[in-house]
Amino acid sequence: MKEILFVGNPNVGKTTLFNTLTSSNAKTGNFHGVTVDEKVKKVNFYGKEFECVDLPGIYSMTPNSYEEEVSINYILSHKDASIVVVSQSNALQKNLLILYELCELERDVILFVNKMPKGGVFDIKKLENNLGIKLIFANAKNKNEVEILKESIFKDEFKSNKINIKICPNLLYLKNKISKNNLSQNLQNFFIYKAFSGSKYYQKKLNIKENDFCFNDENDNFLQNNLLEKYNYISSILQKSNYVQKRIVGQSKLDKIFLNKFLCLPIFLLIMIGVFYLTFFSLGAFLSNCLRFLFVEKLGWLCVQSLKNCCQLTWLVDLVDVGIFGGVGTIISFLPQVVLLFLALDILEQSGYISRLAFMLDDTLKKVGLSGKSVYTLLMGFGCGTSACMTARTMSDKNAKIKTAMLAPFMSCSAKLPVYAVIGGAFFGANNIWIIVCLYILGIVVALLLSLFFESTTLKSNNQTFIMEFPDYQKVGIKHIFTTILSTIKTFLIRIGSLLLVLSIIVWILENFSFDLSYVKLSSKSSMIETLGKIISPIFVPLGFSSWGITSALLAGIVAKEIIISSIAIFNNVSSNNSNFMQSVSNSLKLSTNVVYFTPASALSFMVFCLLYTPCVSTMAVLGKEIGKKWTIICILMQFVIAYITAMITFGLFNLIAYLGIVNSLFLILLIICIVHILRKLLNKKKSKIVNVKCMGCNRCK
Amino acid sequence: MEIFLTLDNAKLKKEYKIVSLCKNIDIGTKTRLYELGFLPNHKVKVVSKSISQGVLLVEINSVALSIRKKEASCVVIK
Repeated sequence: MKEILFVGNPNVGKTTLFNTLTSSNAKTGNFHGVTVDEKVKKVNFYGKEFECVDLPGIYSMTPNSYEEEVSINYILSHKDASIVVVSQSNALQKNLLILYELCELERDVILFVNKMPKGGVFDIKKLENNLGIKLIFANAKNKNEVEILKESIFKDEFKSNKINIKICPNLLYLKNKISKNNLSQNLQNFFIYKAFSGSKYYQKKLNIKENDFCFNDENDNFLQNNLLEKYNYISSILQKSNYVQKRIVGQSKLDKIFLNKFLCLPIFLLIMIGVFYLTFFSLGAFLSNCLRFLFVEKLGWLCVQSLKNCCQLTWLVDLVDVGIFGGVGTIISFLPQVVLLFLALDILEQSGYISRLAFMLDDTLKKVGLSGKSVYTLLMGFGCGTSACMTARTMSDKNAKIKTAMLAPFMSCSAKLPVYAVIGGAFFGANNIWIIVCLYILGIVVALLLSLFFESTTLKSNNQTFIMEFPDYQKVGIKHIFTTILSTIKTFLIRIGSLLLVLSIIVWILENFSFDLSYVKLSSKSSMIETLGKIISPIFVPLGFSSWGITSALLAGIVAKEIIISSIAIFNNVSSNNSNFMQSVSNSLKLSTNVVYFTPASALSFMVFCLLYTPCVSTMAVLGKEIGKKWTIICILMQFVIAYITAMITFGLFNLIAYLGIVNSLFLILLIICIVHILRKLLNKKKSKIVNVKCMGCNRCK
Repeated sequence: MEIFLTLDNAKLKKEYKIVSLCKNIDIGTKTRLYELGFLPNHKVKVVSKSISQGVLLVEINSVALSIRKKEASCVVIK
């Protein structure tokens, strides 16, 4: 089966073209580095089978980040694959550099120029003739226009326009070193040129060390002249093809507001508060109530009543009532809120706003050892920690990549949303929005502090750069909004129908059967989960929640965070037959006779613990793949310890405020801070005196 | 007489011509800058700066891109 690779600069529309051509629904975005892994899909064009592969964006065949390495590895290891080079009509000069290098690699290519609004104009025939390859000028979003590309792939109109590579005479001696490789003359020259350009990737491939080069001014000039030659060649071709670039890509009048020093941060905060308000209250809450009414209160009631009429098995009725509709029902009712949150993040991403935010926040993030590019990973963490960890690949520095991936789980993901809504709603009522905002901010603050700690200890960023293109602002179309909503619903329902349903049933079985498999409601024995939970629960006494039900829910939450709230509903035996299901779940949390109960202090401490503790299994797996076993284990343990300490402080502070009142508590905290500060100063004075005693009298200090 | 300066000291919205890239920059970053068009005689313009002025928004080859002051200080312009 013939392979077709989609290659091009970041953010030119490769994934959009891939989606249109293969009728896929791969994630697209208006930001550098949305695609970080290859996406493969088998398709049938006019009766012939092809394998289409969408690759992360690259500027040239020299990788500068981990996601670029994925692309280049794929291109070099799939020698027989044909390549569709995707470029944009408004930045052809920069986009064609990769085409030039693929021609140097003697690869068969087709050039696809994505028609952009107010994009550059050129003579298509002339450009096609001058480049000597097939050119298609179409809108990547338009299915009819993309049909021409389908035909060209089917007719195999891929062509190779071989460009001979000259290498610096000083480097000819390197050829002897790599003669064992089965590479053609041109490819050998290409690899040597790239290794000489400083690319560790090619140096490693050719088994040559940096010391093998005698890097001097002559070589430096060669490198510069070589790229200048390529640029001039491309410019001359574009000139001959009457190419006129109409405007500057990434510039807009809107930037006067979004890039304003004084407005940018308040605007961002307003956007985020608006998103949370829309998600947790107003529209999100309304839709959530509607779904709960339909799924749990009506459908659940109907199913349980019919089952009661035709089945005498109490445990089966209880399983359907509490285990399935009670457990899964609590999660499913949050579907509208999860969809709204994902949609808001997607709109921010599509509009091109995230690049502006990354630009404005790079200064601050640089101080804690991150870069503006981390903004995307951290924001994606609000949606799903698993996919957010993967986006850390866009970092050029290894330490920054590890740090960014480790910090993503600290962002409050959408799976934790039901915990805040149910528990916070039960104890803090209308003020819950501020509690939720504070929790999101706490996640960010802890992540930044941790990054600062790593930056000053083991994971110092060595060579972090922030060279990033600005995309144009884009209108988010209705079609795109519908696609995002549908795909989020689909992913959520699949997750509920598979993993969460099975987990809910397992939790129900563990809660209702003892180790000798007798039904606990008909006997006086302890259930399996009760026995296990009671062993672990003493650990959480300092945090204010020592009931076995809470600890068991936290344990189940390691598999998937959504399961925490469904487990609580199961443990408290909340039936789907209640007229107001969610109110019953909330009320059950306040009754000390129930398995799971909280006080306001322990509820807040529990929410803080859920925000920060060990990530879910899928995030752990991705972390293991991205940053290695050692750092994954460190990350898991560190998250648990941080969550424990922060929750303990929260519990203590809340109780203190409740006991002494806000003013007295603040006074006490200030007093403690002052005492600690004075003690530190005194200790430092003592230390400096000790240093003076050891002084050898060199008088340098004077 | 022509005055040479580095990109981090450039005036806002004034167009300059690139002379060269300094040597005190790692070769990987240098190659990436070359690839993005930071080549001799190419025109460059600083359009905006970040909150604490540590990142510049520059316009090169009709494309807007962000670059840190540290990297910009390696671009010699006139």
